[in-house]
Amino acid sequence: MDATVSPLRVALVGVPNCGKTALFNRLTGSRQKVANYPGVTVERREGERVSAGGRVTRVLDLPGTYSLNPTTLDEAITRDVLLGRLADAPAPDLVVCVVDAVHLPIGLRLALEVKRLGLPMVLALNRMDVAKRRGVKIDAARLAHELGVAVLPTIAVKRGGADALIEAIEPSRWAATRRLPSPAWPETTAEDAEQLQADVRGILAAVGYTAPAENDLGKRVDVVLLHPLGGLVVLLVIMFVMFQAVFSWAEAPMDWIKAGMAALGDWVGAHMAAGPLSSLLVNGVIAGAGSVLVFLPQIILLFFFILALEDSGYLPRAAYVLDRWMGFVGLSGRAFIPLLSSHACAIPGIMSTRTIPNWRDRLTTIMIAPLMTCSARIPVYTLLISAFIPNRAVGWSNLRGLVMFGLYVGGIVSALLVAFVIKQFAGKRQYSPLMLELPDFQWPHGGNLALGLWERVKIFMNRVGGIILSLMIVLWFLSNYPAPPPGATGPAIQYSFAGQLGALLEHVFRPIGFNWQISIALVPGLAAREVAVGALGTVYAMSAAGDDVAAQLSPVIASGWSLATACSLIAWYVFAPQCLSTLAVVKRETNSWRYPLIMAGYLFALAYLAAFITYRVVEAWA
Amino acid sequence: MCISVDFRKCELVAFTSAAAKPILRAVKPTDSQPSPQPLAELRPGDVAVVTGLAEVESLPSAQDPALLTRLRDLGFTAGARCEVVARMWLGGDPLVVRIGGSTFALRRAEASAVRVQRLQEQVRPRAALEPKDASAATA
Amino acid sequence: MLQEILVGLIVLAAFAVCVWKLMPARRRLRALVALDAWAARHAALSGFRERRLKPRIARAAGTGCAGCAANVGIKPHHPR
Repeated sequence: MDATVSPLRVALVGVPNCGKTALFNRLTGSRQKVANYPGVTVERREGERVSAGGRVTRVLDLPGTYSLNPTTLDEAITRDVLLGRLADAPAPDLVVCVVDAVHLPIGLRLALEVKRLGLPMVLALNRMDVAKRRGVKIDAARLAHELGVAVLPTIAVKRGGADALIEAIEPSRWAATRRLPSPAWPETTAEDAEQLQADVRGILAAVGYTAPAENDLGKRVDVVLLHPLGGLVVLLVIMFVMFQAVFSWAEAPMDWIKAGMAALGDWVGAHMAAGPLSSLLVNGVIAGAGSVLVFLPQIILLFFFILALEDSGYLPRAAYVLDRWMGFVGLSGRAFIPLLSSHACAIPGIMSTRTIPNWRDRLTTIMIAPLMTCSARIPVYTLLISAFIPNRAVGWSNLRGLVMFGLYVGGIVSALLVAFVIKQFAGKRQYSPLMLELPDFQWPHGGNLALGLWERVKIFMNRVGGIILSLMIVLWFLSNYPAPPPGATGPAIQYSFAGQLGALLEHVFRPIGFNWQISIALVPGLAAREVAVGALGTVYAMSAAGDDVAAQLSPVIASGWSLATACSLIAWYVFAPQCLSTLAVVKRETNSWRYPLIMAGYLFALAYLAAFITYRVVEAWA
Repeated sequence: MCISVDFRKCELVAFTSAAAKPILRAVKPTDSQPSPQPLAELRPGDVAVVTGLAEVESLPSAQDPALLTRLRDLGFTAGARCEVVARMWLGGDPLVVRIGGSTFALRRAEASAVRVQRLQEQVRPRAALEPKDASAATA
Repeated sequence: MLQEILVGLIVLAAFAVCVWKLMPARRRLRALVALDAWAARHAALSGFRERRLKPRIARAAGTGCAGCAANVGIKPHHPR
């Protein structure tokens, strides 16, 4: 092993919404990794920092907690790590307590609690810039004196804003004080709590704390956002604008990418001798993965809205407005945020149900999360809508955008209905507390937004370049071999493995109007929803007769499919769990096979039923 | 160390030095004030001082000691000043309360556990008033 | 002929990637650990082990997002 000194272990502690994560990013830059605490599904964010002298500091971002008396699993983990109770996570050598200067009372209370543990501690007084703007006065030197720990003002969102803190946690300063005995934690009584609050008030008075001036923007905005009716209206308008925009604003850049892919396909086809490699590149890679790449602009737009809403502090307000209505279907208002993030991807949505303390509420939310129209469904919907819905203007929006919005609403409505059904079967509901903090309303921070968007772009490109590309290549292979016997009629693909499998599956899907191409596309589509688009691209490219280079998918299916088939496929995609990862996450979060199996079962059943009804109805009507 | 301030004086002080008034000074109510009531009964714009937490008999599950502990941890202890910001229709479930500089949404059951004493003043004065020195707020 | 070989290699690689990404998390972890044990016996691979393999094992030991490795890097929603 190396002879260097073992790294200094620093833990970041703070109440939620204090800017701890931004500070963590500032301290560790890109040297972070995400893992799990052993045995539980709580995320563990750890990063590293190397000082000028080559000393290593390991920074652990502990889940935000209001108190060391936990109410959720996240908070219990924070307490356990600080107490050194977790086997794989020994107590930190140094604790950085992050306190939001604008909300000093609640952060200070936690700081006092943490101080009682006896660990070496430093206080980071964050958002000092906002505090100054809001007229908050804090005598930092006096605060340090009262607490007996170093107090460092930080501005986590500004470059260089954490320099004072970085200097204070230099490993060389703390070497002598390491390896203290494990901290103990006595159970708190009501009197303790009252005394703690009294201590907090005393310190606040001593440092001359003045409450922040009214957040005028926040107060005016809250009049509408927190109004029972106004809040709902605003929410609906936001959702409408969001999904309309995702559809129409992205059209131009998507067309460029589409044209680019087509041009690339033409170029490769023209410049490369016809043969398996050329076919692989044109039909497998470009027609396959390329079809999915086209949807990058939509993904960016969708996440732009979601991240902006997140950053502004709007989401808990929407949760408050919806809490009552969600209660009618047996959901907690706390379920709103996981369900909203399920619109990006159900996986982080399901993971964030950890903030729901009531098990039954949490399970219900998990069960309905996949019904939210996730970003992976967008390529499928867009493909079908562009091919089959005319581009007609309706008022100040257009028909296509409206249909897209309608699909989003459909997902939400079906989720609420399923929640209602679950409620009927589940018996008396245990009381579940809300106690949700509404952070200050603020304009979204451009830097955070850009960083978040870039991360999502990277994830998307990883997906396309990784699993999607690989699946398309394998699918190409299965569609190309075995080669048709000499003198065979019809497209070559029908004689291949894929074609034969498709013919088999077609028996299952014929009643709902799927042809064999769709049937075969659904198989790799189980790995990820948008793969179906790529798979259709490859399958149809291979079916193109003669020298036709991969034509664009949209016109091909527009002429090849009936309206009923398209509508049926849309209905299928509203419900079908075409995402193995989601089921895997459910298994992990619920710790059993039962729930993911139930989920897969009911979703496939609903999908088949919906597709069947849609197909028959549209066929009869058209 | 708690400074006791007659809350009538606190009112006067409030109007002359708006944003600088410290919100967490302990307040002793005088006799001619309304008796303690559950926070859940207050209307938007009401300002009150917390007198304590009480178990809620009508909601057995809301007698959960963990719930009371969490309320205390969020700042709902005797002497804390709070303001109701918003209320949902049909019984105020949930309602939005500002306390200790932070804003929380509570269900009616949780809010019922918090006993408060309503103060006469209504919505806090606008921040348009000049913030005076903190020392001016001392009685 | 060269084309066929190249295509074959690409397809095999793609197949391996698919299998890897669709493997259950636990089996993937075991595979990584086995690979690590094998690489330990070759000193020349120590650099590779330190830089690439060990962090991957640490990550897989608690996959941020279970199941399909295609989703590593997705974090649960954290308000701010």
